[in-house]
Amino acid sequence: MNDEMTSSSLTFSQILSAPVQFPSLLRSQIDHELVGPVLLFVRTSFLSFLVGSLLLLLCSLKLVLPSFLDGVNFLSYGRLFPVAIDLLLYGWAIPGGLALIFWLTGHLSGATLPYKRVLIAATHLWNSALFFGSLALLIGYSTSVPLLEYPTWTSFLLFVAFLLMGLWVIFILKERRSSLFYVSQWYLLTALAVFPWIYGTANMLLTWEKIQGSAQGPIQAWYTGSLIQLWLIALPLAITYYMIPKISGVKIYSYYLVLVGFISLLFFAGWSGLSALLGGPIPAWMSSVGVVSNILLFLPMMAVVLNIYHMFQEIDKTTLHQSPTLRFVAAGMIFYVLGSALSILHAIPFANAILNFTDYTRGLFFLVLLGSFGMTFLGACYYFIPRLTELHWSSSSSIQYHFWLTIIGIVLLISAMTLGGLIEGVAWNDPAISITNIISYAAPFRWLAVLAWGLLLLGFFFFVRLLLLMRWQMIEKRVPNSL
Amino acid sequence: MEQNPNNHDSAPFQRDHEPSSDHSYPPDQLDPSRDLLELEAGNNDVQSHEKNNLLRPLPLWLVTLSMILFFWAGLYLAYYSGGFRSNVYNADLVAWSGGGASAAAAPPDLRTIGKKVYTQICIICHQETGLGVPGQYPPLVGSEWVLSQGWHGDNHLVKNVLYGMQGPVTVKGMPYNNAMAPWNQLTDEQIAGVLTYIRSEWGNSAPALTPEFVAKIRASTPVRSEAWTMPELQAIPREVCTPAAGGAPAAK
Repeated sequence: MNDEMTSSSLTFSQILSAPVQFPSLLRSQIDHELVGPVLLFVRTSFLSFLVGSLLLLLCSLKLVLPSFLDGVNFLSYGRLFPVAIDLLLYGWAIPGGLALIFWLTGHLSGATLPYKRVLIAATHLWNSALFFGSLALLIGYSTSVPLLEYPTWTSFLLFVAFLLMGLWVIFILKERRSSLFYVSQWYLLTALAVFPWIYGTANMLLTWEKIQGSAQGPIQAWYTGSLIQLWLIALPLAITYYMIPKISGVKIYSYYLVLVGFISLLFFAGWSGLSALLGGPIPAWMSSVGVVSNILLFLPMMAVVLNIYHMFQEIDKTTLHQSPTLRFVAAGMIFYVLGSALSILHAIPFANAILNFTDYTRGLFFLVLLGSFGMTFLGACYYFIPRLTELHWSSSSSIQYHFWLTIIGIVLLISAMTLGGLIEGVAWNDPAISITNIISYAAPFRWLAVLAWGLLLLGFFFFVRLLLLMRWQMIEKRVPNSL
Repeated sequence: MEQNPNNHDSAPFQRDHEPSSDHSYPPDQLDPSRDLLELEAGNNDVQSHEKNNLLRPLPLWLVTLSMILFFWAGLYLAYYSGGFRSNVYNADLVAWSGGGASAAAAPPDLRTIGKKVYTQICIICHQETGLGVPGQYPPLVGSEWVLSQGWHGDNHLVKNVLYGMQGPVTVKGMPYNNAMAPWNQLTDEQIAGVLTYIRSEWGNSAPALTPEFVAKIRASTPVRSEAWTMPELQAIPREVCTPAAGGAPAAK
């Protein structure tokens, strides 16, 4: 390793002066050191997605067949749903995002990995907290705060593990050899800095040391809104701004647009969750600020859309056809725009009076989680996993199946939940319609949701097949870092 | 892979069942000018900004649109923030004072308060239409009790709400025999509000009652545990709420 360092040290003077060119040797060295921790978290992320979406399939079945698996305590809806949604969030979205942050920060900083053991210990800590926390939820120990259901010790361990990983990224930034701070890193570091802040604060005030009841609602709403905007949307934007130039060679269209999009996202993200409490027992200004922020989030969305639209126009068509990453990223961005439109609709008081407390709200969350975050994250996985393992994806048809089944699954799920939610909402507002009738109106849409979860899982099995084939190649080649 | 050296992302593809001829994926085969992003590095070079995208201006329509959105946001917050006070839970009940946080809240509209009380309490018997239920609950529309006609005064109406009614009564010439619950736990403002509301809704047009008048009647009526009967009320002399007797109505 030291030899490699010295052999590449000749170019360090070039590295420090822009334009930066990293020696390819350094690049392979970065990958070589990252492969362990990154793949560890990637594995956590995929396993959690598999288990989480299987449980959500069960949950969606229980919504239409209440007698299904009846009488088994730990499989009751009230326990399964939090386990599933927390697995998708803290098992899939956050570790997956962290794996990306490690990989992208390593590459964009051009720094090799210091204190690797801290990172590996922290990922193991996170994984075990996740595992035992999920078990505790199944047994029935839940704080019953939405998205913060884990018992206090679990959330504390997750918090500590995240802080360790965050510190590690700061170490790597300290070592960076590039004077450039690329736009993807703005979003990555924002996400990295914001998560411990919001997760720590929300847990401190809602589960560790409970604040008075009237303040709990706004804090939970603030947490959800910030998590959605500054993790589940910030990371896809980082991926998009990295992958498009990287794969197609097209430059970022306008830096002013990136800047406007970034600053306005930061400014409005934290407030946006409060509109979920429209009409609730909170001071009027809170929900009004939430409404305004949600609608003003149109600006960062528009800035991103303009930039990406112009960039995609410059990409030549064959690249777009051949690159699974670009296709996944493009789909993720389309879902991002759709999600923004639906959340603006959800924030308009008149529409909120109909749509709140129906499947629409939950569908919106799945759209961000599976559509915006999920698609771009999978796109990034198609890019960085082969480069880390130095192996190929062994089947392009599996990639096709994965892509289309996921797209169809998400579109079906979101249409079923938003349209079903609309019908539910209209029915709830009519006092002449009984609750039994409302449930029977929603039933066909909930059956469609069951089908959608099935399709999503089927698509994911094709991805699992690709990963297993890759693992087989690893065993054949005796590569030490197993996936 | 060789034929298309520009396409790095598709490089790790293999067709199904096609034996992989090139297992190695040497990262240094990547085009270095495209790696670690540093096609963007040129952007840092101010001298070359003319040929790159660093200083590309924002589209004018986006700037205009954001101005319009910000203006709308200001208006919206002005109307629906309740002056950013922590004790305002429903911005519809509070007129925007236009001042800062120190400005006093404008007094809420009596009819708005009254409508809320009516829909929470009175609507159960007297119905949304104010017509009551024939033979069971007397109507409020055109009722001499509500409009203070004949021997009925505004004081009777207030006393009625404060301590309730029982026994046979006559309303618009029809006999009723039912009980009305006492509502003396309501505030003066709420009682004045709901009475003002029923006196000006459904075509009724009697003057508003003020909270001060309600307070005066409440103070002058001894506390009782029994509801009123019609003869008891009839024995009490008629009083009318006048601006002189109770101060000007606070309603806008």
